[in-house]
Order: sequence, then C-alpha cells, then structure tokens
Amino acid sequence: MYQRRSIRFIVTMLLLTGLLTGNRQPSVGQSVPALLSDRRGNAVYIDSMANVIRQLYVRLIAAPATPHTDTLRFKCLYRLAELYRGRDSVLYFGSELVRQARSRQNLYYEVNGKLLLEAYYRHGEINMPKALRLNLDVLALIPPHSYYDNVRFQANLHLGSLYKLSNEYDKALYYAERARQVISRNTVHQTAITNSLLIDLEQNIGSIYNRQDRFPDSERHYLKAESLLRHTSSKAEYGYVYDDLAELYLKYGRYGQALHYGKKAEAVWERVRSANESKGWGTLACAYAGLGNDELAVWYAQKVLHLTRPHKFIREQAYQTLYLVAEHQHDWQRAMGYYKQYVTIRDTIERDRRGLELVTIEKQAEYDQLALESKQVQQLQAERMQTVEKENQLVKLLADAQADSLYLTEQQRILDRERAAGQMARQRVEQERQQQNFDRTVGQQADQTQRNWLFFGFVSTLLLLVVLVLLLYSTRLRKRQVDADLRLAYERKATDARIIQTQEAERARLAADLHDDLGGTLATLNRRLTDMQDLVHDDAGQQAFADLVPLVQKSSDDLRRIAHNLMPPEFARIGLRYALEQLVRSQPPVPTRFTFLVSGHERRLPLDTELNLYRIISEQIQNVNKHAKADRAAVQLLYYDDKLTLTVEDDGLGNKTTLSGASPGIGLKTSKLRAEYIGATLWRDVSEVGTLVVLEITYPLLAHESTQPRPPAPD
Amino acid sequence: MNRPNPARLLLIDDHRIFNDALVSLLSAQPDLQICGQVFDAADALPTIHRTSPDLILLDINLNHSNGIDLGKTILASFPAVRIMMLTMYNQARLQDESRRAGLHGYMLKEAKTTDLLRGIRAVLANERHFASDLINKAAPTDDAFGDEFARRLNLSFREVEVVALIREGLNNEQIAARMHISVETVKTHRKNIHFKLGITKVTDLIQFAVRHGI
Repeated sequence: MYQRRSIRFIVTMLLLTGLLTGNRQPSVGQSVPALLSDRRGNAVYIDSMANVIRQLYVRLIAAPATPHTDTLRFKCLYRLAELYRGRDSVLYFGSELVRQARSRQNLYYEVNGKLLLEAYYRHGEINMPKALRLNLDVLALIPPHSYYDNVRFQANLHLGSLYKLSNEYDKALYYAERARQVISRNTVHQTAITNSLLIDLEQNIGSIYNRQDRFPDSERHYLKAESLLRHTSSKAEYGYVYDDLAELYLKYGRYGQALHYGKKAEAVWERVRSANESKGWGTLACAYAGLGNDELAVWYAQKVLHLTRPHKFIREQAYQTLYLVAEHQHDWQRAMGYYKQYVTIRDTIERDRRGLELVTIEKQAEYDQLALESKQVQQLQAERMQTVEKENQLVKLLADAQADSLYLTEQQRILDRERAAGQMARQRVEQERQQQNFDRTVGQQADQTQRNWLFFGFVSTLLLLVVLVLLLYSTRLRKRQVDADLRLAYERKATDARIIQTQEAERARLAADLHDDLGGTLATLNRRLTDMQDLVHDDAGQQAFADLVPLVQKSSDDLRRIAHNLMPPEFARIGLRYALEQLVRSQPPVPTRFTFLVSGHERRLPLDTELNLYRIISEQIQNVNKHAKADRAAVQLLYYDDKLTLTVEDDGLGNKTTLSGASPGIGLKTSKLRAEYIGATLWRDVSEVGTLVVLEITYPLLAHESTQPRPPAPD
Repeated sequence: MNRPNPARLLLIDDHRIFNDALVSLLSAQPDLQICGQVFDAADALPTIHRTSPDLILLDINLNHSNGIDLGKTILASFPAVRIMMLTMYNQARLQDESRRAGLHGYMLKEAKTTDLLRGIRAVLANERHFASDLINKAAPTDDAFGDEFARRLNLSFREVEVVALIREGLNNEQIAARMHISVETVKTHRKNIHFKLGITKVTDLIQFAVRHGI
C-alpha cells in the first residue's frame, strides 16, 4: 500500500516536472525521467514511468520540431525501449527511434536505436540473424574515430557471442579480439567501465572455448576475468564469473574446484538475488554429488526443486544430482525415475539448442545470401564467364587431341620412312669417310707449316685478351667504388632523415606534455592562488600572495615559450602560414623590426614538409637575431601556382659577419639538410648590405588541395 | 533572471587536476551544477545522453583526439547543447575554427575566475563568447621604420628599393651594382614583385610606383 502511494507520488512529481520543463527553454531532456535500475522488477513502476514518458512524447510530437524537442523525442523513445526491454514494444519504439533519428541525421540515436533492437532480438533468441545484421550495420555506420568506441566495442562483442551460438568459433574469436582492440587502443587509464567491459570480454572468450571443449583455454580466460574482478564494485559481476568457473570445472569433473567457486557464487547471489531465485544451487548439488557428499547434494537439489519456477538448466542439474545419489545408494527404482526426468529435460534443452542452432544456421545462410547478394551475382557472372571460357578451352583441347591422334599415325609413317632414309644415309657416310681418310694424308703435310703460323696468332690474341680482362676488371672496380660511395651517401641521407623525423616526433611529444599537462596544472595553481588571495584580508598575507602570483604567471609564460619553441602547439591544425606569422609577430621590435608578408592563395603541404620549412625559416630568423645586427627584416610567403617561395631578408651585416668571425655554421648546415630532405632548394645571397635567403619548394604532385588538415589516423 | 534550476554543466578534459579543480570552483556557484566529468573522449557521447547537460566545457587536446572535432560530433547528435572550448591553446586560428564549427565559446584555461564565470553565464544566456585577447589577433603596432609599405602594398623594404630603381630606369645589372647584391637576387625580387602586384609589364610597374610615390 505504502509502495503504491509512493509510486503515485513519484509519478505526479515527474508529470509536474515534465510539464514545467516542457515550457522552459534549454535543459536538454531534463524532463525525461531517469530509470531506477533496482526497480526494474516492479511492473507497476515500469508502467507508470512509461505512461509519463509516453505523455511527454505525445506532447513533443505535437510541438514544432526544434533541435531541443528532437533530442527530447529521441530520449523518450530510447527510454521507452529501455523500459520495455525484453518485450515486443521494444520493436516499435526502437524502430521508431531509428527511423526518426535517421531522418534527422542523428547518428548517436540511430546507432543506439539499432543496439536496442539488436538486444531485443538477441536476448530473447528471437531472431539471431537480424541481431547479427544490426550489429554489422552499426559497425558500418559509426565513424572510425574514438568517440564511438563504446558502440564499436559492444557491436563486436555481440557479434562474437552471436557467432558462438551458431558454432562459428573462428568468427566468434575474431570479433571478440576486435572488441579487445577497441578497449586497449584508447584507454590510458583503466576506468571501472572499461574494466567491466574487459571482464565481459574474457567471459565471452572463455565460453567460446568452452563450447569448443577446449578446457585449458577456457579456464585461462575465465581466470583472467576473475583476476580483473578486484577492480570492480559490481556484485553481480563477481557472481557471473564464479558461476562460469564453477560450471566449467563441473563439466570436466573437477568437483573440488567446482565446489570452491560454487560456494563463492552462492555467497554473492545470497546478497543480490531475491528469495525465489536459485543461487547457484544446481551447480553446488552436482559438485557435491560428484564428490560423494550425498546428503548435501540432495539438500541443494531439493532447494532447487522447491523454487516456484526454476530454469530448465538448474532443474536438469537437480535431477541429475538426485539420480546420481540414488545410484550411489543402489536405490535403482528412484534412480530410474530421476534418470527419466533428467533425460527428458536434457533432451528438451538439447532439442532447443539444436533448434536454435538450426535456426541460426538457416538464417545465417539467408543473411549471407542477402549481404553478399551483389557480390554473389558478380561472382556468378564471373563464374559463368569462366565456365564459358573453360568450355571453349575444352573444345579446343578436344580438337587438339583429335589432331594429335591423327598426327600420331602420320608420325608412325614418317618414322618408317625416316628409318629407311637413315639406312641409306649411313651407307653414304661410310663412303665419305673412306674419301676423307684419303684426303687427310694428303693435307697433313700442308698443315704442319700452317700450324706454326697459328701458334703465333693464338699467343698474341691470348695476350690481348688478358690485357682486355685486366682493363675491364679495373673499370669494374672503380665503378663499384663509386657505387659504394653513392650508397654510403644515400644511407647517410636516410640516417639524416631518420634523425630529423625522430627529433621532430620527440619534440612534439615533449611540447605536448609540457604545454597540456604541466600547463594545465599551472593554470589551476594560478587560479587557486588568485582565488585564495580574495580570502586573505590582512596586508601581510595580501602582499605574500601578490608576490606569488607573478611568479606563477612567469613560470606559465616561460613554459608556454619553451613548449612553443619546441613545437608550435597544434601545428598540424593551424599550418605553416599561421605558425610562421605567429613566430614573426612574437619577435621583439628591438633591435630588428620584423615584417611578415603573404601573397597568393594559401595551400597546405604535407605536414612533414611544412614542419621542416618552418624549422628552416625559424633558423634563419634566429640567425638574423644573433648575427645580422639588422634594423629591418622581412619574412614572406609567396604561394605561386606551382610552388611556394619563402624569403627572409634583412639589412644587416651580411658578408661582414664572416669577417667579424661569427658564422652561422651549424644552423645553416641543418637547414640545408632539412631542405634536401623535403626536396626544397635553399640559397642565400649574402652581400655587404644584408642577406637574402630564398627557400623554394614545388608543390607535390598529389598535393592535398584542401586546407583541412587530415585528422590523425586512429587506427 | 532567476533560474528555477541551476544550469547543468559537463566537463570534458583528460587533465584530471584541472578537471577536478574546475568542479570545486564551479559547484560553489549557486546557479551552476556539475552533472558530470568526462576524462576520455569515448565516454563523451554516452555521458551527454545520460546527464543531459545545458553546457559542456570542452578541452582541445583529449588523449590525442581533437576537441573541436568532438564538439562537432556532439552537436551533430545533440544539437541543443551548448559547447564552450576551454583550452591551453592561445590561438586565434583555433578559435576561428571553433566558431566555424558552430561551437558557442572559446576561453583559455588560465582565464581569471571572474572572466571564466562571466563567459559561462554568457553562453548559458544564449550568447556566444570568444576570448578577445588571443595572440595573433593583436595587430602590429605603430611602425618606426616606415614599413607602412609592407602593410599597404604588401612589399618588403628591399622590394620597395628595387621598384624605386626600376622607376629610375635602371636595368637588372645596374640595380645589382647599386644595391650591392647579385643579379640573381634582383631577378628574384622582380619576379616576386610581379607576382604580388599581379602585373607582367615594366610600364605597369612604373605606373604603380608613381601612383604610390615610391
């Protein structure tokens, strides 16, 4: 009675706030009441909440659509779908949310609507392929950056468990692994949320292995989940992990360990679950039966059977226990009875599972067909083409074979003819040899004189050859030397490039650390100090603070300057032109007055190139400051159509500096190195009236035309 | 105006100390209420959905993802929420970018408490609030070296000299000799002058010089 009244009170309050806030301007969604998760079981509460929200929703639909009412409407639909979790109403509210969000191009609510629908299909095991498709949809919808990582994780995890149900373990593991990657990629500090996600994931992977009967792998992942528990505060998480472990050990007959975890789970569930729910009793009963402790086994089994509506899994365990115990006691009659019941339930479960499997497999096939339809059509066409081609080939082969057989008989005849011809030829050769023998004796005398001449000829060519080979060898040697030099130069260049890159990366990291972390802390400190100053009223105290504040301010300024010198903050985003402008503007007006000029349409170059151009120009500016003793200096950027020209000019000492001994040696060398590295040309005209430095770079062929910098790739 | 409820603020900043300090500062204000703190960009959207803030204070550098992009993403799904960038980055360019992205304010983390509160209240009252004293907003101060040429004509002092000598009728070699620079340098200057003024003929250049008293 009391509960009723309190609910009514809440409802009226909510209604009132809903009405009040309906007229009020901003406060996005403040009027959509939040859900108290611990009252989920209370049907009256759920209905009354749903009523309130539905009324609000109706009013919102009637009101003109503004960004504000849009968000409120989406929130209402989301809340309603959440309220009716597991019921068919989810279908309506979820689909409506997806439809409306899509029409307003609201990605967040479209995706979350799909996830609500997905949960409905998956949890009730109503339509697994649809759940699968929704998850794949969601993954395709969300952008790659990290803002949607929570969603990405969930979708991957769901896919993992869906594939587990359809016994496709490779895919299941693949998606589980993807889910893990999502968490590990962007969480520097482990939050409670990521921790429970990890636990969820480990349990999931463990159960995938369990389904495959891979005990050690399964155990490993379940134990990992257990080790992650110490960071969690959710009791239920403990319970589920212990349940998993207990059932795993039970399955493999390790009753001692099963009992250990079963007891732990029972202790957790005692505190969390209501009176009419099992607290891991089925598992405990089985474990005791396995250990031979019949008394306790029966006790737990009876506890299960006394529940009003125990789940079939637990009932199965209870009857199994009773049957085992009866068997221990050689009470065959009862054993028989329990066994029958046990087997009936087991078969139902098995049948259900099989049915589910069949459905999933069947629907999976349907899904695959749908998803890959176009691909399949293409493939089919390709295959048909291939078949046609193969047929052609076959026909050709057949023709070839026939030709071959014809050719063979022909061959036979030719062979016979040839054999006869050979016989005749051999006779002819015999005759010729006799003729030759006669000729040779005549020729031998003439040969003797010729041989002497030949000997001299041979020796001289040999000598010539040796000389040639030597010559060739020496040129080859020289060439190899040149090659080696070239390679060395190339390697040195590569090393230089690497050094430049490493240096830049390191500088960027340092600058970011200094600027963002230390800078933020200093800003906080500064604010605290000034705020505290207002609280101090005596003069001495005020003075002390007044002394401190500029110190903090100075350290903050110094820090900014140092970080800036290391790497202009957000260089990638603001780009070369603005970074240089800022640099020139920050030069003090004395002794050298700098001007900054820009001409042409700004174009962005690859980040690496821009950074090196920036470094070269800032080196030149430093040279002006250090050595030139100039009154005036100008830095300009000229964006030609095909190239960027940067110049630094001053009216300083110019070539007179070299006479005074100070030379900008190392700086110039690194500048040259950098220019070479990015493919720019750098030249200086140093005269007695000053220096002109010209740095030119042609735009890369595939220059990124847009001034939008590319976002850092998250993957 | 006396608000019936305090405005709800959400802080998104991975700098824990700053984030926490801001909470203690802002929750002391009766018209403001902190409805949540976010330290990781991935938690931003779900937290906004859950807590329904009126105003979000958003940092630019968030675990290597960019706050302005996050701001855009937030507005795409929660168009009624107001977003103020609160950052270490003293950059007019980033402020412009925030403005273009449709965000409602831009303030520096080192702003004085009173300024910060004023900015927050302005944005809550449907105004836009952007810091006015960012570095390269400041125009160059007065010019002791006659560099008004630079500002007016976009020419450097050397280029002005070259234009003057061309007007006298000197050729490249003569100009080089007079200015004590190489012919190559004179050519470079001339090419750049032509590019900047958008002219191709010497006569145009002389006309330009006469018109501007070079």
